[in-house]
Amino acid sequence: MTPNGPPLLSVEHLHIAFPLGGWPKRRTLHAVRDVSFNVARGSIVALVGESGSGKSTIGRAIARLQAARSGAIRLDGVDVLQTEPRAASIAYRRRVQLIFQDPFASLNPVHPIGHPIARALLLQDRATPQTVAAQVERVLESVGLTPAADMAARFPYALSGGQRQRAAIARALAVEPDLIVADEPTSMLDVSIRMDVLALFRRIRDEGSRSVVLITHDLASARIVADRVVVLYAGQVMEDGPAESVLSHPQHPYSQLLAAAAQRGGGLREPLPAHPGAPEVIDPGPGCPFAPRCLKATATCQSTPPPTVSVRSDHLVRCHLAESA
Amino acid sequence: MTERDPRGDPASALLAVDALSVDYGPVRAVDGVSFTVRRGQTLGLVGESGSGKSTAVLGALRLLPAPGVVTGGSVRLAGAELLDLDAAGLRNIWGAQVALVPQGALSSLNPVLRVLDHFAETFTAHGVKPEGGVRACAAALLSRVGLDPVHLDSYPHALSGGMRQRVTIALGLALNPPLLVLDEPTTALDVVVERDILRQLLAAQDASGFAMVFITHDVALLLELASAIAVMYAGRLVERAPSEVLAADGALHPYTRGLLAALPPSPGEARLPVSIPGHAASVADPPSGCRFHPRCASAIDRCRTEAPALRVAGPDHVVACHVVELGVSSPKPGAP
Ligand SMILES: Nc1ncnc2c1ncn2[C@@H]1O[C@H](COP(=O)(O)OP(=O)(O)OP(=O)(O)O)[C@@H](O)[C@H]1O
Ligand SMILES: Nc1ncnc2c1ncn2[C@@H]1O[C@H](COP(=O)(O)OP(=O)(O)OP(=O)(O)O)[C@@H](O)[C@H]1O
Ligand code: SF4
Ligand SMILES: [Mg+2]
Ligand SMILES: [Mg+2]
Repeated sequence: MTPNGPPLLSVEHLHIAFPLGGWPKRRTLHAVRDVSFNVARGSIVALVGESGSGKSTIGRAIARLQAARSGAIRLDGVDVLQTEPRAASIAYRRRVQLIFQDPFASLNPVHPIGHPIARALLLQDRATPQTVAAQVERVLESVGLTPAADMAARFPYALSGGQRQRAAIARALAVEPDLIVADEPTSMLDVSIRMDVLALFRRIRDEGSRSVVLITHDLASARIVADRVVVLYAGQVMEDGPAESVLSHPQHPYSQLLAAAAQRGGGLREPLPAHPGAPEVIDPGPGCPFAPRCLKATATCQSTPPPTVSVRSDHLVRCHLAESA
Repeated sequence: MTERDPRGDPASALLAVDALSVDYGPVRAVDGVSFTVRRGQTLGLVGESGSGKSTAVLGALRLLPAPGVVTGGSVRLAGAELLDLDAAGLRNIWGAQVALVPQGALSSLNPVLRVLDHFAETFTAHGVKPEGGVRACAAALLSRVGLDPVHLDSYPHALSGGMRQRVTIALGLALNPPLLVLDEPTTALDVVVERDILRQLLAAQDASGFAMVFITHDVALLLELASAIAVMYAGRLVERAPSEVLAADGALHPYTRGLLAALPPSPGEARLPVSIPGHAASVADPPSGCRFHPRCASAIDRCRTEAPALRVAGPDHVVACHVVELGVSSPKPGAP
């Protein structure tokens, strides 16, 4: 399904760190470590993984709202970490739109939600002052914010959580960017509306030239729309491959744990098949970051960084136990 | 018009919400909603986005920001009427008798306070001096939600979405209140952390017997987590039933049945998810009669004109639908 040709976006060896202060030795939190993945033109790539594994940080870096320590983020081959100013030019923001994870914090409280949509449409000459109201309503209807005329005039405070989330999606869609980075865009939506929003992303993808990076905790959503799935843990890519392959036949022990946890019916009181604990991102050891939780870990896992193994065509796994194809 | 709960045993309940109505100016966002929560029990609250779930719990707990106003009903927490309490009375209740884990974790944390300060504030507000000191106690609470205590010194902006959400859950647990109200508490959590935290919550509930009201869009999760589930549609309660009844195909209201039919099938289940057709109803301009009627395949003429009252369908099971014949089999979604 993924078309050929050079990728629209390519993230290469991205490293992002945050200084934490501390005394006598300043400590550093390595939020994103050596992350690489591609987003083909006309495709949807899902970033899934542990809470705190760096997904939003990567999303913000792609939107140029977050500086990186090293690595490259190429849009059409151009490394935007080099060419784009911090906070991005207007032209860049037209090409790349970020839908923030927290809709309670990301909508401008002083404007009704129709306002930024109208502005985007007018700025890009896709509406005239005569037609703009009707077009704003069309955009709002596409995300299920009805009656749209009433919704367009509402201020963010007068919307429920899921309605704000859809207002943020509508605003990003109105810009018609080449790349949408959607950070948990449907987390507050019920299944029925969630399907409609995912169908919108699919329609954008199917136009052929535009792409979506979908950050999500919902593996079912990833299965429905994504072409590829990238699994993150503790700031590193654990697995990267075609969606069906990664979700139905996860190879990395962490991906397998995610898949197991997504199964319902096992009983909520039952512990998951993993050692308890959280990864060490501040002073990470040399080995696999998942080793402390992994039931299959060996002494090598603790002491040596696992290799990235190509288990199948186009399917990478970072694990000592992975067997190359 | 309000729909009174015909099952009147609020005396035995820890929380008894009766015929609660909440308005935003001319808009009635919550219309006569009733539910009860017994000690140690978990009530799940579900409903479409915008159906009034957050408004109902914020109104009931007197935490609703302007222009929201509670315009009717009664809310009894351990027998005390919350709607009559003054500011001082409410301050004593919040945190100690009932804690809210609000939807939208970032806006609920104070951006200029470190995580530790949030715990310190909570303890000071109630004159609590935790054994071993605030830092140790807060560190233990963070560990329970899978967060490294190193984050006690972090500001909210330096935490990921799911980490903030876990801080708000830990804050809710801080004073060990008998009632915890959680509004979409796991939206930013991966399934592994979510399961770890739910296990912690259930263990804490087993140990200290607190009750929960749990708002979520994850109906499949509620079927496992909650003892009873209340379903809202466009500001009204349409059905309330024990989870086992819903899990065993015992849902009666066409909206509830639609909601369950829209769930992704579990592996090995031979069924395709069916989404509910039509647009969400707006509480600003609700449909006449039964608010679900424009989307309901079972609707009859009466549904368009007359709002159905809640009727008793079984033990702890009430439903508001004209078509449901109580004691007879239920309408199938999509059936004529
Ligand atoms: N401004 C910041 N200062 C310091 N640390 C930060 C900052 N922003 C993020 N971090 C840290 O970086 C790590 C990754 O955070 P990020 O928000 O990218 O995670 P995430 O994968 O999006 O998680 P979630 O699924 O919970 O939203 C976390 O440990 C977080 O504490
Ligand atoms: N200030 C306001 N003025 C007018 N309407 C409002 C106001 N605040 C909220 N509403 C409306 O009240 C309804 C109920 O909102 P509420 O936040 O309770 O929904 P919810 O069920 O929690 O939805 P979600 O699942 O999306 O969080 C929504 O339709 C919303 O648009
Ligand atoms: S490298 Fe070792 S510890 Fe890491 S996931 Fe593979 S088996 Fe588990
Ligand atoms: Mg995030
Ligand atoms: Mg809500």
